[in-house]
Amino acid sequence: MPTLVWIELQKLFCRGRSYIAFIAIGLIVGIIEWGLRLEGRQVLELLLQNLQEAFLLQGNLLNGYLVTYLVLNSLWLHVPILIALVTGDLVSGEAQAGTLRLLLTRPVGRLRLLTAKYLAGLLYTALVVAFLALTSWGMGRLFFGTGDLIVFYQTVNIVPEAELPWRFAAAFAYGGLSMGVVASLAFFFSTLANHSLGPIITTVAILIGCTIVSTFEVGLFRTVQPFLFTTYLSKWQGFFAFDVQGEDMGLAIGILVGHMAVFFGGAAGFFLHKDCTT
Amino acid sequence: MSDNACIIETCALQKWYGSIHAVHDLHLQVRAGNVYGILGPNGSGKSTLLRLLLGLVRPDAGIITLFGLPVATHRDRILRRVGALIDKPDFYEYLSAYHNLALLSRLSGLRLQRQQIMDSLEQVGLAARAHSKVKTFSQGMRQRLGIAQALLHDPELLILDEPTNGLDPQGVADVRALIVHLNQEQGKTVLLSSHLLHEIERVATHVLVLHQGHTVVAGAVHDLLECAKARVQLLVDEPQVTRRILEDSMEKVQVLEANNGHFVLSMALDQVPLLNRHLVGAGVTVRALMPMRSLEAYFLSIT
Repeated sequence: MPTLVWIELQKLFCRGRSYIAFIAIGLIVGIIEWGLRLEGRQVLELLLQNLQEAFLLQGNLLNGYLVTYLVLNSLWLHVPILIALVTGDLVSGEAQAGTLRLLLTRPVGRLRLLTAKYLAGLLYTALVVAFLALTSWGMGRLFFGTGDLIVFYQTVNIVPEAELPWRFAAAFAYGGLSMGVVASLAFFFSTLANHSLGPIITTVAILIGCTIVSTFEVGLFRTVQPFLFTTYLSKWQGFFAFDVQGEDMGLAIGILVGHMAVFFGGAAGFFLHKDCTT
Repeated sequence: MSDNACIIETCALQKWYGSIHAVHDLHLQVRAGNVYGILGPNGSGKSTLLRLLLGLVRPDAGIITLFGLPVATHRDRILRRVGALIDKPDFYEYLSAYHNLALLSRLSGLRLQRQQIMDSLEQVGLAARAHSKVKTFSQGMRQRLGIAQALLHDPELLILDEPTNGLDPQGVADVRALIVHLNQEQGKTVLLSSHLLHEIERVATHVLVLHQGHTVVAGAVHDLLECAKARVQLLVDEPQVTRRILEDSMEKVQVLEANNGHFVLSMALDQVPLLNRHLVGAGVTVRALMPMRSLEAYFLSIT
């Protein structure tokens, strides 16, 4: 299996499209940090105006940690699209190019081949999230320095600087897991199609649709929200609560892992019986 | 695997694509050491049959065994002994020919040395372009690379789908010679499909003719040609006398074309000397009497 995964990673990183995510993230992080450097202090003062009337806030509040926290919010929108671009192409792209036929005439089991592709997709996702973490954290610290983090989550929390490394590590790990669900969804659609555009568009459409349902607190929507993975994508913010709710976070992680298992199971069920006609 | 053992066997094989019956009740036996040609026009089910044998598509009914093992349950074990080129040869365009082969060999569980991969490329005349990306290759070069990847793990059985597609005349001759060499010198069994009848005729020992998913005929090429009617060209100076002889004395001969002194006849080959005797005996000047002993004539007569 390691050899198969290595082969898949080699193929993945020999393609130009795999670097789009890294270039885009570099640009997004750069633009956000440049914008914050220009006007961040005024915006922060505006946001904290009411708070400063009641409390005395001291220190460097617009620091690298706050910048990283703001960048993490981009997980919502940009990173899933960038990940679907690659993972939605893993099987369908090979079917479209005709190379799936080439692979399936080699003495390697379909399930092993699919698992190797899936693991390569997850590793790619992890690398993208790690790159996001390193660029936002590194550039944030470099340009804005360090300090305590002030966040609005349920209430206003001021997280001491000493706690921030593990909280951010946990948040990025959770972000990686939630992006793994997006990757799994795109991978599932990838096994159904013989063209790569369909799975990518379908994944993004489902992501947008489910996010809308997860966001609006309306009767019917509220009923289905616990079952949608999009409800749990932003739960990483829970790691910045005053008191991290371990049970809630554990449940959210369990639900995300469950979604990944269902999507991969569906992909395997379909791929094992798929006729390779391309 | 003993000599003459049955390497491929299918029994009552059926495959549907929606409402299209691609393969209909197909029985096939390919023995070790044979070059088995599958003939048929486009859409006759040739590629589907080859895909079924390799487990790329699943049969709706029937049994397929390769090397005595069912494909449905022993696909991986079987594919270790099979090299295949199905449909057009598609590769990773962004990788070099060498890198493609290296990757495929590792996928097959092989750890080939650099020289072994270069030898494979040399065998198909691509060594000089080993490190060029496949996207710069012509159709003929891709076809050669397709054959190289099929031979990479030294398989006992080669399954080649239209292996000379896109090749120039020299390339066609090279591939034909390679198939003969692999069969006669290395003892490999070859199953190849083509709609080019003369290609099959030149290399195959056995043939299966498919038409709309049905088996039209199957057997040794030599036997089929022996019992088949051949086309015979006849060139004479006395067309009227010749026509009378054909009508009166050669009842089993069918005149396909007649243009002054040029006739094209359909007849059993063993009747040719008799026809010649009748014509000469009647004083006809026979300028040419040429049997067109080909699979093409046979194929056209049965489809």
